Amino acid sequence: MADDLVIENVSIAIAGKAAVSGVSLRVPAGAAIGLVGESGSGKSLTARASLGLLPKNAAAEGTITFGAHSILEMTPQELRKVRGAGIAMIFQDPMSSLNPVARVGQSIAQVVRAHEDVSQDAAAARAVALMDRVGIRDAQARAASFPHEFSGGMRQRIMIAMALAAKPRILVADEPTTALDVIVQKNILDLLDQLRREEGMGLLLVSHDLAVVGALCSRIAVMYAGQIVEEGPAAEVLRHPRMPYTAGLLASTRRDKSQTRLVSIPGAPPPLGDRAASCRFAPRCAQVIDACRTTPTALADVGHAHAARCIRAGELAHV
Amino acid sequence: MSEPLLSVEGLSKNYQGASRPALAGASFHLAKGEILGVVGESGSGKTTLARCVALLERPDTGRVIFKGEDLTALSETELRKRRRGIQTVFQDPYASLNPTKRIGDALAEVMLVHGLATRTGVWGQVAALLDQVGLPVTAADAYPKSFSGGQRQRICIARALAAQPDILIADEPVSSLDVSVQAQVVNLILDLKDRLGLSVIFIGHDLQLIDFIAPKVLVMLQGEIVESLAGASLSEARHEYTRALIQAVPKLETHAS
Repeated sequence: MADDLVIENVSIAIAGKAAVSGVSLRVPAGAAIGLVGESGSGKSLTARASLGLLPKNAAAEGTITFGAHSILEMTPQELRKVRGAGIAMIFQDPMSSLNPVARVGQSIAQVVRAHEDVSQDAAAARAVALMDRVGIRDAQARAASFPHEFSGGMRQRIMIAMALAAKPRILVADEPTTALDVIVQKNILDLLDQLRREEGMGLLLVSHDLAVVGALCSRIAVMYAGQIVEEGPAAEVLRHPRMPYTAGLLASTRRDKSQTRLVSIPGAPPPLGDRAASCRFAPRCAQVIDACRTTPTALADVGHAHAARCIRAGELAHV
Repeated sequence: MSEPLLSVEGLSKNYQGASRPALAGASFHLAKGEILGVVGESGSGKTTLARCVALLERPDTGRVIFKGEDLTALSETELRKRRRGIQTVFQDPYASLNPTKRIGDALAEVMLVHGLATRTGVWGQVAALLDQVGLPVTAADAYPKSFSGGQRQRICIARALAAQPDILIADEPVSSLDVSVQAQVVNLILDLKDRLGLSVIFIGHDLQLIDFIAPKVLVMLQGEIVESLAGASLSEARHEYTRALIQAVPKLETHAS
């Protein structure tokens, strides 16, 4: 479809070191897709690449298309137009993305005017309406406030209002609630879900938290050491993980008071640049066999529209 | 029952210009070898509580009775000697370590300052500390930059243990760590409590995690302890705020059912 975001076989190197390897992911218009991984997994790089927002020392291969646009081949000027109106992004730390010396109403109005030929007054009115839309009470008065006058949760709402100002078809949200308290987190997640449904916007939700992603997304992709290692319907991935890494992540979030210790995954992920063709999780995997250390892996179908990158996925159906 | 190791009575702290007290009349006891959980959101006063109990900051009113002595009544000079007994580990292991100091030197310094080691014996003790927190002995020669967040938090814990404390206050020690690493660090703290008979105050915002770790959990809201959950299950929480905290957490179980 015209408004789908399609990432195909994308690899990214940072300063010559392999970071992301052959990631493919589709965010259909109106759908919520979760991208889960820990630090260094490449999930944020993948998300940023879909807006052409890679660091200067990054080199990307593969294709990312949004409608007729081929993101990785676009000039900065072309990208600026797609960003916002086509694809918008919100980040973990709204304070660093907001202009600290601009009134928030002005910041939002500026985005409106960058994408639409409207008067200043009309843009200002749209800004207030957007603040109201994202649940900021007394929006008319609050539009004159500065970012530091808002709480973390309210700042994230302002970022969402700014992202919505250009009427994007896809919203990429990179750890949007990680710095927030749980009650505020729930409110922001509810808001994102509501906006996706009402605007028919596609949502790519990037998080290290499987539960956050599970709460909102219909499909989940799990990344480890630069690769997607499992992908499928949210309920399938969370209920029947077929990749031992996903199973380990799920187990480490379990709070079973009949046990005296949490379940943990021993060891640490490989550093940037260390990207084996065989299973990258093998050194930490409790289910490892000799073949895991030598056989190149592929993301293979395991049924129910679900795929896993584990040569033992067939035998380990119930790990 | 014998006298508790630590008794906190009516601890309050007001910051100038704030609309309400950061901490208002917090009281609790901590026994030797006990682990106490404290849960709250940002601004709930949990970090102020940690800082006042460790006397890193002086409370306005209230007493901190540690081993029978009221720490709030001591002078700065006297406090310096007693502070060794209560050590803290904070959320950000990146900001907590001096980037220009080798790990081994940082640990040795703590032991030498407190007279807990001799110059000749200290390196053996450094090796033992590193081993205790699950790091290789070679870590002693490296600088903080060569370690991941989880490893740095292990180093911060080793540094706290170097002072041979009775109490470890861990303020959001795993909040900035990845899920799989969080479990490793939590398990390490539980192992140390068992092995060393350490008393622990474990502070965080994740009620389910704190409830797993600690048999007794204090819930803080706007500077006050609003509920004390002892040995009960979370489903028995009575305070409206505690229940809101429980309900706000996205649950994986909704998919599992």
